Amino acid sequence: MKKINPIAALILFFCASLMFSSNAVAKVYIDIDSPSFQQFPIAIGDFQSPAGSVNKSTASGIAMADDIKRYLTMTGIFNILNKKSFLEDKNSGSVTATENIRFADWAIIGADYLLRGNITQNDKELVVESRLYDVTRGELLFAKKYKSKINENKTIARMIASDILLALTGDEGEFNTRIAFVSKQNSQADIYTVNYDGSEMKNVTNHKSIVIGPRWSPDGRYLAFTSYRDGRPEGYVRNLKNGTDKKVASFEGLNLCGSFSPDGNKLLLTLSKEGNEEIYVLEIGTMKLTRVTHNYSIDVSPTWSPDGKKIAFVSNRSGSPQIFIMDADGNNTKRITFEGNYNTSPSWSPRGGRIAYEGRVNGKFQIFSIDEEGNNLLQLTFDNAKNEYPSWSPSGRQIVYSSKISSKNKICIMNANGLNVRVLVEKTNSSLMPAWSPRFK
Amino acid sequence: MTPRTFNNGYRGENGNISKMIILSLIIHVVVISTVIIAIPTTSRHLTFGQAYSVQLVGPEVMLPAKDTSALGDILQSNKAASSIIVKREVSSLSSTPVKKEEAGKLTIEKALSALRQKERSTPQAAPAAKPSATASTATRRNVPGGQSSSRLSEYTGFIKSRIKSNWTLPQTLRPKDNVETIIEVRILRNGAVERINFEKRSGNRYVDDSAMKAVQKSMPFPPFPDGMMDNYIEIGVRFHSSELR
Amino acid sequence: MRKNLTLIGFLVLVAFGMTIFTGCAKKKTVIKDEAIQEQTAPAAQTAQQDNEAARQVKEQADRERALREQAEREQAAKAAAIAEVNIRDINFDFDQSNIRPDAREILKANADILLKKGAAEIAVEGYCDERGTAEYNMALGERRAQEAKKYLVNLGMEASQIKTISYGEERPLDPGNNEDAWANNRRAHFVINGR
Repeated sequence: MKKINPIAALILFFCASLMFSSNAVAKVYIDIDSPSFQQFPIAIGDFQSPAGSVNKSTASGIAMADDIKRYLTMTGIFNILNKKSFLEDKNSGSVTATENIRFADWAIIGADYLLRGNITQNDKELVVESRLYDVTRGELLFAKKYKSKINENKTIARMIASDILLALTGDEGEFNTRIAFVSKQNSQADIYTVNYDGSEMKNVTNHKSIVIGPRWSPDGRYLAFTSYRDGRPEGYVRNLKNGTDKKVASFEGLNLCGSFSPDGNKLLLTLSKEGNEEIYVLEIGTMKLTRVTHNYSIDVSPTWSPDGKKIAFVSNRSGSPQIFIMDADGNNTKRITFEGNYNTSPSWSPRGGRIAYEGRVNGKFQIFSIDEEGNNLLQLTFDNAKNEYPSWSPSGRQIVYSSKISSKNKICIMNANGLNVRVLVEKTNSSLMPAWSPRFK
Repeated sequence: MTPRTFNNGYRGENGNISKMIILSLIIHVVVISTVIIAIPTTSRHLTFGQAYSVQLVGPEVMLPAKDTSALGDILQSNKAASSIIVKREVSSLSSTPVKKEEAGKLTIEKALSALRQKERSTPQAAPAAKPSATASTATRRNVPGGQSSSRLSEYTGFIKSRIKSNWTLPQTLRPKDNVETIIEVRILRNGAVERINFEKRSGNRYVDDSAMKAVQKSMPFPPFPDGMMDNYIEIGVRFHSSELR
Repeated sequence: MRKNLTLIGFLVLVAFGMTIFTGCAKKKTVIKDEAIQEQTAPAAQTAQQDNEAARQVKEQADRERALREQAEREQAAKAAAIAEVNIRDINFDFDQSNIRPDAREILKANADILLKKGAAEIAVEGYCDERGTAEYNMALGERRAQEAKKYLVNLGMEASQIKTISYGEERPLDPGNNEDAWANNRRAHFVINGR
């Protein structure tokens, strides 16, 4: 009996455990390889008068919501739901406590996020309150109040859009940036700047000569560029606050401005004063010049990496214009483009890692991006145009470039993957050589 | 006298016996808990493995989907209990006498499930059994042998397409490399979710959040179809963020 | 026809060359700078009150200006004399800056003329066709000008006499969008600043 007991008990327990485990099927895994959608569905209600007064949308509230919708659409990562599909009636549309919102009504129309707000304006000031909700979780993501002088509605709409982007993507986006570009008719050109949304275009220089390659300083206060105002190509730095130009490079031969260093103290130049087109570093404070390339070929269009340790540039030392990378002191030069026989205009992503450039393919120029090792090449534009001069946004998520069909250039913006193209500037003059500013505080 | 002695002895032995009983109980508890923990995990692998290594069917039975479900219904009502037990025994012991007995009926079931597996299969191939201990390779097969499991694979297929249709992730938020997030859910018979949590985080906050959201938006799930006899199922949803461009 | 065009062209370019070289920090042009500055100074003063002083300074500037213009006319005549004999452009292959065999002949002829007539200063302008990137073309145009300059120096001219300037793809000679136009636009052009 002693011996039987353990065995019987063992078998019994064995079977029992098996029976228990057989009531649950073994864990099953399913694999999902890609998302179905690439845009967050968001519902944005018209902004209302705050509670206390009659809860209804005002013209300015509708305009505020429309402005926010426009800005979010520019990012390319939002699907703005049509307000005609909203289920909640307008009376409950103002900013209310989270528990009063019927999230199921929003989930049903397919919204992942919901934005609501109040707006009051009097003679002196504008006060806007806005709240962003996660519909799936039924949670408030942020509630914020904005105050400004009267008529700053668009500024507040930009701030709200930035806060939404920050909450959902960790980056405030590009709403507080401007783009500088060259506006040109025949051989007369000058530099203009414009807001990210195409508004507030301003004329910056008055040279009326050949002008090329504007580049922003890291604090957004200066623009470096090359101009033939005095009859030859010379390098200038313009103070945007007081509107003065300072000539920083006026050597024998060619003087072309490259980009500022990330700390703003140095400027890259292409000079030919020693008989050959080479790259130099100019310390702006001391005007001390250091030569960086020592190669008989053409070395031009230098641009700094975001950490200031490397420089990307164009050289034809291997027989045709290609993109190279070297250390900031000129050592360890390495070619990174091997596709195509004409690759120029490198621009380094502020997030690091990738370089955008223009490359000739089938007689046209297209925008490409490639990583710093020369791998993972991506073609970003495919249309029948001359697409040139890519420049990254501060977040590294968008690229501005110029596009030429027929005889005129226009400025376009696209996402860093080539999607969501929109036209930023299209004038009677040619608009080209755009440069994206840093974020303005 | 003798009975007394016996009684005495017996009583004496009783004392010893009770000690022995206690000792054996302790051993039993230890062994049983080991068994309860160990056997469920191993049986999964072997179950899955056996399902593919035992090729009882020669040519595949070509039946349209409708008929297979009907057949399935007919078969499973008879076979449900026995098929499960058969499954377990096969997994734990090397001999398969019971299995051979059921060979005839099992043949068709296997053919049906193999057929469904092929119809529904994603790029996961159905290679020969690998007695590997890692959960991921073994459990890549959605179809354990048996009718209940074909129902299960239908159900999981539905869940997969629903979750995928609720997964939103802008390309600008995707990381450069391919990362993986796994959300595990325990779904009850009525489709309600008893438990949902991260089995594995990719480390990228946006991928993780979007994955959790995709599953949450898909809840509650439909109730189990007839034929799925389990009280609950555990599903691990693996989200991959490969670059498309 | 071609000679006339070249003549007019040179006159224009000489006058242009004059205005270019007023910017250079050279002894010869220092006087010019001051004259120009004096010319603008009176303009500023007239904006204020002192008309009489302004008028006097203006007269002074006018006189100096008249002198300069006279000198310019003389130099233009001299340049015209030089330009009567062709100083021709040379052309380049696409994306190349090396001097072609046909270009060598032209450069030899140009050098002969320039050396004989004692032209004091020359500007070599480098150009590209409209294809390609503007910045790269600036550099390529400069290189073409430099190659031409080197060749002229090898033929006996003084390096200090020759300036290079690139216009890249700007100021094309031929506005067409075809191979012929592009071939014409890829050039080095010579501007004489005779003295």
